[in-house]
Amino acid sequence: MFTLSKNDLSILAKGAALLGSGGGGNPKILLDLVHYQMSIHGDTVIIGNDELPDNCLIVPVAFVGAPLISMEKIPNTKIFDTLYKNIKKDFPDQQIVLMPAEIGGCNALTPFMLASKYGLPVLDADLIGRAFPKINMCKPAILNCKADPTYLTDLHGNAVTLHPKELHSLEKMVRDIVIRFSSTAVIATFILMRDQTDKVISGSISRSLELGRGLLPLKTIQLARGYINDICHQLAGGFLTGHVEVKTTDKNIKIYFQNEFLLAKSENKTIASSPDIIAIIDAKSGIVITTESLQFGIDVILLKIPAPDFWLSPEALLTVHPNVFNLE
Amino acid sequence: MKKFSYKIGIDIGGTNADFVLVNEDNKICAYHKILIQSNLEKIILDGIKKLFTCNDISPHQCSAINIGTTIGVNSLIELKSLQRVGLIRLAGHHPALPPLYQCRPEQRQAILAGYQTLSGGREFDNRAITKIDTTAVHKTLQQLLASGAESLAIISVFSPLYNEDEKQMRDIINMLAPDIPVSLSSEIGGLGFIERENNTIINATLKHVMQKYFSNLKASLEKSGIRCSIHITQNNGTLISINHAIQFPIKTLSSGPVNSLTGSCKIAGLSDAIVVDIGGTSTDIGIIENGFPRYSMSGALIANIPTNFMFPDIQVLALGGGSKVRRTSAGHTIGPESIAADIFTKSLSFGGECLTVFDAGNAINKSFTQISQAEAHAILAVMVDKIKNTIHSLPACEHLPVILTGGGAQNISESYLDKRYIRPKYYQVANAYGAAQAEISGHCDTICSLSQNRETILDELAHHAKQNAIANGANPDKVRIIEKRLLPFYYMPDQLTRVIMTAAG
Repeated sequence: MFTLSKNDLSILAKGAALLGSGGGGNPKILLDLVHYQMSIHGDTVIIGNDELPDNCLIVPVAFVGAPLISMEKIPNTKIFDTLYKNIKKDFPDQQIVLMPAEIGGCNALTPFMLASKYGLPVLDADLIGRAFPKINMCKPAILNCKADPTYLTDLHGNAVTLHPKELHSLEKMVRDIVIRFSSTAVIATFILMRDQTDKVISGSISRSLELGRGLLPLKTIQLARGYINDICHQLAGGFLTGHVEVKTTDKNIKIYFQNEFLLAKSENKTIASSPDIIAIIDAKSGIVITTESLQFGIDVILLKIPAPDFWLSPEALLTVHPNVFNLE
Repeated sequence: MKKFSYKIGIDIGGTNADFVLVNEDNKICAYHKILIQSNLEKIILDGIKKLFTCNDISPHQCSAINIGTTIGVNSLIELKSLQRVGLIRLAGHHPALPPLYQCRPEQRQAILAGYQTLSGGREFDNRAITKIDTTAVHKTLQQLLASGAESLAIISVFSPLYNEDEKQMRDIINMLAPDIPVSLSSEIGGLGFIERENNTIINATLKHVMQKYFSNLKASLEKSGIRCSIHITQNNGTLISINHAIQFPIKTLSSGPVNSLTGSCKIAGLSDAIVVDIGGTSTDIGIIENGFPRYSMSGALIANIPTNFMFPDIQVLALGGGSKVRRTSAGHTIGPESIAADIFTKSLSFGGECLTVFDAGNAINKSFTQISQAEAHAILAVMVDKIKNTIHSLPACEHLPVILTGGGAQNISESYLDKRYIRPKYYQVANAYGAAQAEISGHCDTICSLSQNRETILDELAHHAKQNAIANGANPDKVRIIEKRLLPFYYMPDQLTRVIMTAAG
């Protein structure tokens, strides 16, 4: 158990940006919002699996939609109030413990909007350990958990509760509803019971804080230092896809992305690939560069950070291997 | 003698105003500096008259006066001469973040009188978030005025795409309180609510100081028989009218560094170079490509307030002519402290006790003998090493020549520099020369779908920007597109893209 204060948020955000592998939305969007909420309502308690209260419900939450829209339509607190009210209505007797659904990118900060205001604890875990573009690319999905019920709310008090029969219909329903919700929604999905902690990636918040403090995990490799020489992107099927080229003194490295950086090749030789976390960092400022903020000519450092072990199992690899994304 | 053959460039900094007179061959005919102590308008008038009298030319031979200034930035940093701003947000969903949240409290206190969030704003597809409530405006206005607002800033959600709500609000305010200045966010910045709001608040708070210095300038010049066109340089290095600069002071905030970069290149006759501007306290290092500055990656911080303006990417070293030099067992260290403001009383060369870079420069020129030649060379070697190390760390410009400019550049003697380094004549007044040589621009900033007829649409927008430039007074024979930026809105249908074109000539 430890306390997370508003002064820890920028560290958490920096680590989360690295774990985002270029995707997951820029945490900057939420940083000030959560900071302000915590300056009003106070710190949040982070607990481990063995500290979960007896009769609790583990609720993973995340923003879904287009992060760039939230840059213009700054979220309010109503979107979280509605979510909390609806979950409480269905589970009146359970103590709610929150959790980031996705630690990579802006959603590392999302649970704290709600946790701070209602004094709820946050579990030191998430569902992915990084960021991935699709709902089925998370640990409980691969372990065949049900996402029933799934809650969605918008900024105006609208709410939908879904009872999906299959995961692929969940992805489609969520996408359709998010468009109806003007591309900004908060989701609570893969809600878990106290005895289901084997379905989460444990220690994600601690890991993000460590990364944010500059403590890189073992086997982190600097792949290259160079400058961005070429950017090619397009919007395909609701995803931002394309590649970026980093020119070093002696070679060109191509990094392919679909929302996240998923594959890095040096002269046609793969040097990092999903589930490896691939991060591009502005060498001068240390700012993590997302696929939405790539710019020509910046001096960058290319990092390969190991993914959580879960993703190395054969059944998990089947879902997130670069071949799945039809890159190149 | 030909009519209209001269141009004047003026750079108004924190301490000095620099003046240059440039002839039709773009050569500097005269320059001088005036210490800013009294009334700025008088200094400008005196400075201009001095250029005329020294060169025996009459005012009607001058075609243009261009002014670059850091007045806006300085008043923001010093929190002086600011107007207190009343902010109206049209955002029916009520964002959960107060304005200027990242600012220091005293900054927020000095700049913001109060704010109100009202019904209004649009979704990305132009549906109203909530409808504008015109009856609430009157009450809000009374409240903001009562809390001390002297200038208003208005921001509506997605106004860069759909600006009708902001315009309607301005119309209502103009009827209720015709004297209060109004800044609309849609006329100032791109998408990104908080950054655009910050831009708009900064613009609103600076209107008064710009008005104070520049609103009467044209009339005063005319009274003295000077009737040529007067322009102010803006962030991208081109010119805007005085009235436009008073309406949009935020557009002038980085004109000082930009003039230094472009002016240095033009004096040296280059279009691609690294510019090292050595001042009294600091050295600014920036890159010029194709005649224009390389911009920084993220939006600029103006007096520590995040904005979405692109400013030149400048590395600042705490190293200048007035930097203190310390003798240590391992050799000399320079800076970061500087006595630039007191160089004439505190430096060794002027009988003071402080060893500075300036003294080392003097020793090498043999105008000062208290320190040995060997030591002077050792000090300058440290300085040059620091500059060279920074230059070597700049990405993708190993091939570029390096221009040394600014008052502190005099200290670096030729012997330290290989043939990559250039110190052009008149390097001391590069800023003012940059202003003199600036061109008149026209702008086109719009959002459109590029999924069909992409090239035709871009051509039309380029034409529009050129026409705007010509309407503003640009030379039709020289006008061309100098900036073309396409900012795609990811996740939006039909390749919706913000297109920014600037033409100049």
